[in-house]
Amino acid sequence: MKNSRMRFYLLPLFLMVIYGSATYAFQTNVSLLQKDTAIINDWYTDAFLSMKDDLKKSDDFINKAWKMSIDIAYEKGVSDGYYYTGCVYEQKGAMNVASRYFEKAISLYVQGQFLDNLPDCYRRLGEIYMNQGRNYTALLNFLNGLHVAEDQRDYVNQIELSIQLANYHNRVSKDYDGAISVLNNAEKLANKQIYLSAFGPIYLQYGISYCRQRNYEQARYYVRKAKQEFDVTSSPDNHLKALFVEGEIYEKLLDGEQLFAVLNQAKPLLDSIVNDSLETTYGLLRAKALYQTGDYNAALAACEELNTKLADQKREDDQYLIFALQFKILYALRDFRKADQLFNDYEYTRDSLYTAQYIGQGIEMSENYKLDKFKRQILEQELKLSNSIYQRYGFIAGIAVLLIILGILYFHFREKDKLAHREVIKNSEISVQNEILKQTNRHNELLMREIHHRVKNNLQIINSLLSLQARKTTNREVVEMMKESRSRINSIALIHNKLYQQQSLNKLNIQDYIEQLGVHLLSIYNNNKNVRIHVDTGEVTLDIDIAIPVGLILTELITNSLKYAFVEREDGEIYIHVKHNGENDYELIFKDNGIGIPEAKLNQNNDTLGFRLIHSLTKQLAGIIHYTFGEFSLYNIRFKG
Amino acid sequence: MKKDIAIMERIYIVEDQMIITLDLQHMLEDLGYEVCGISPSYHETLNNIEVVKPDLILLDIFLQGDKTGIDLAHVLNQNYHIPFIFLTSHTDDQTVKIAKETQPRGYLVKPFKLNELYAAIEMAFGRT
Repeated sequence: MKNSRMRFYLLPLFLMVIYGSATYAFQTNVSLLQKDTAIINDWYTDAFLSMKDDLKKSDDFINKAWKMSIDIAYEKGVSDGYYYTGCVYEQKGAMNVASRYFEKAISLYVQGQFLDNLPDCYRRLGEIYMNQGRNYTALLNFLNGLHVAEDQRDYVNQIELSIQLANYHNRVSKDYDGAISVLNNAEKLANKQIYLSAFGPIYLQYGISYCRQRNYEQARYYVRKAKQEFDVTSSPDNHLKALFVEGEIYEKLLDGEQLFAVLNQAKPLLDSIVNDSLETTYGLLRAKALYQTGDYNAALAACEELNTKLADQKREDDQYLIFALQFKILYALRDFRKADQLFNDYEYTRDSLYTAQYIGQGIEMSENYKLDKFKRQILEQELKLSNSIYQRYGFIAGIAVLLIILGILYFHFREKDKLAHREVIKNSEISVQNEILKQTNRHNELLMREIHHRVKNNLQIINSLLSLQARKTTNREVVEMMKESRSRINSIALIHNKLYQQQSLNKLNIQDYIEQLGVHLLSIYNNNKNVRIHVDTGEVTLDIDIAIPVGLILTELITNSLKYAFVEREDGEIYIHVKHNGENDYELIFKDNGIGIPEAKLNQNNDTLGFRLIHSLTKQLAGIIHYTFGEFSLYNIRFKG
Repeated sequence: MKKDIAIMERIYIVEDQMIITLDLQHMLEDLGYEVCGISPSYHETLNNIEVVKPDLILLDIFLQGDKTGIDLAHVLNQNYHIPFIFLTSHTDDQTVKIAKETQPRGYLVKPFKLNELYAAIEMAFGRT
């Protein structure tokens, strides 16, 4: 008992221990991995932060993290390795190498769906392509990046990529309205997200767009704001760009003096940095300024200088601008022969059709992107709508189910109620039937009583008839016979009288009956003698079929005793017992203290009606009779009830 | 037990069973009474007693017709002031109770014996 109880407690304990250790082991495993990846990510972050100041240190961190990622097969870490290395090469100015790394990083990011650095990677690659003049590929990258950034809710890159897109519109597609709308979005987003460093580039692009649209007021306003945003010392490149836009405005306004003033402002800044693109822009602006101030030869010389500088660079749009300026200068110098030759040369080097197509493709891509975005919005709305439809259907279905349940419950209870009602009706029917049965029973009882009463009355009529008959004779023997017959009839009438009077209609309590029978017979045959009859039957009751023969036997026995036993005596005793010995076994004992019947007379007596009746009725009761004569005359009759 | 002819009381029997009535008549005559009339029903009894004017009536409770010996007893008490003894085989409580209300001179249960009849009649006349 105790043992089984112990086991009862130990089993859950054992299971708990197993569960605990398993969970611990699993958690340690997971936490180990998490710890490693966290270290790797930390190293990459450190590398990124130190990239501008200490490229060597940054490179070390990246290599460490990259190696560890490969060791523990941490896919994201491996992909990040390409991205950060690309960033390092970008910083170093090795744009071709950087672009290779970025391309690889992008393919791995897309493959593994590591989206954190993906928009930034697209932007950087796009910028490189843009600077390399691969405008179409650049646009693809910007749009892809924008896609991912919007999905990821990466606001920084959304803004940065928007600026790049605006730059593309300004520089390549010449869609200034498009650029301004993109910038509007970016500005709103930057305001909302308080992304301060974006304002400078945004204003700069605004300046360019408005300038190209010849909205010089707006252009100057934005350029001024851009110059405020770009600090001269911390970001000279951008400040220079802003200055050049300002220069362009003056150039367009044909204000050569102001243009020179701007260029003079720009010159020291330009000398402090190394940037081919900006130098080209400066050179071009300077050439234009010289052209506008009428110093054509100097302008032409400047153009020549720019051309030699750009010879090894594939910057077609810049080359086109220089060509256009040269053409104008040559015309101004009226050197038409040289101008025509320049035009033909340019036609050879540049496939204008190709360029137009190239730009056209960009516009198409941009339109496609807008269309795609619009489609996605529609899709999202449809999804929301279908969700709401599902919700509505779900709600309706829920209500329907609820109604069905309520209905079922209602019918269930109504059915129950009906059943209960039916039961009540049934019960009342049953009680009515019971009442009818009771009444019928009472009626039947009444009828039975009436029958007993009538039988008794009829027996009395017979009795009276015999009485009347007896009066007609004086023959003593006949009178005696009539008397005996009447007492026999009376003993039967008494039984019916008893049954009529008492509660039970077929079972007779024989104590009362025998007592009354004795009194009646005493009144007939008692010849002024003191004979007492003692009856003791206990609680024995007999059926009417048994009671009548027993009553008749007793009538004979008592009559016999009263007539013959107490001759020559003044008093006597008669004892009557009825006993119930067993289920079907009754015993009648009759005795008197009379003289008894002598042997000689007994044989004679056997032939009398009284004795014949006693024997016959005993036989009818399937009984046996014994009698002995001594001090008492004793009759013992055992019969079946 | 037999009585003087000169002072024979006249007894009227109301009983619907004529054989029993006959037997009773013999018994009464044996005892020395005069049976001055017999009738089986309420109405016949009322018709006869006007004329017969008996000293005592032996009255069965259940009679022919719709009226009972009890109804007859009430009329006897109210209009004739003739004493009566009920003569019946009914001994149930209800019958005894309604019979008692008519203040009979006696209540004899059938079957009765000669001496019982005698005692009852003599009591009714106020003699022992």
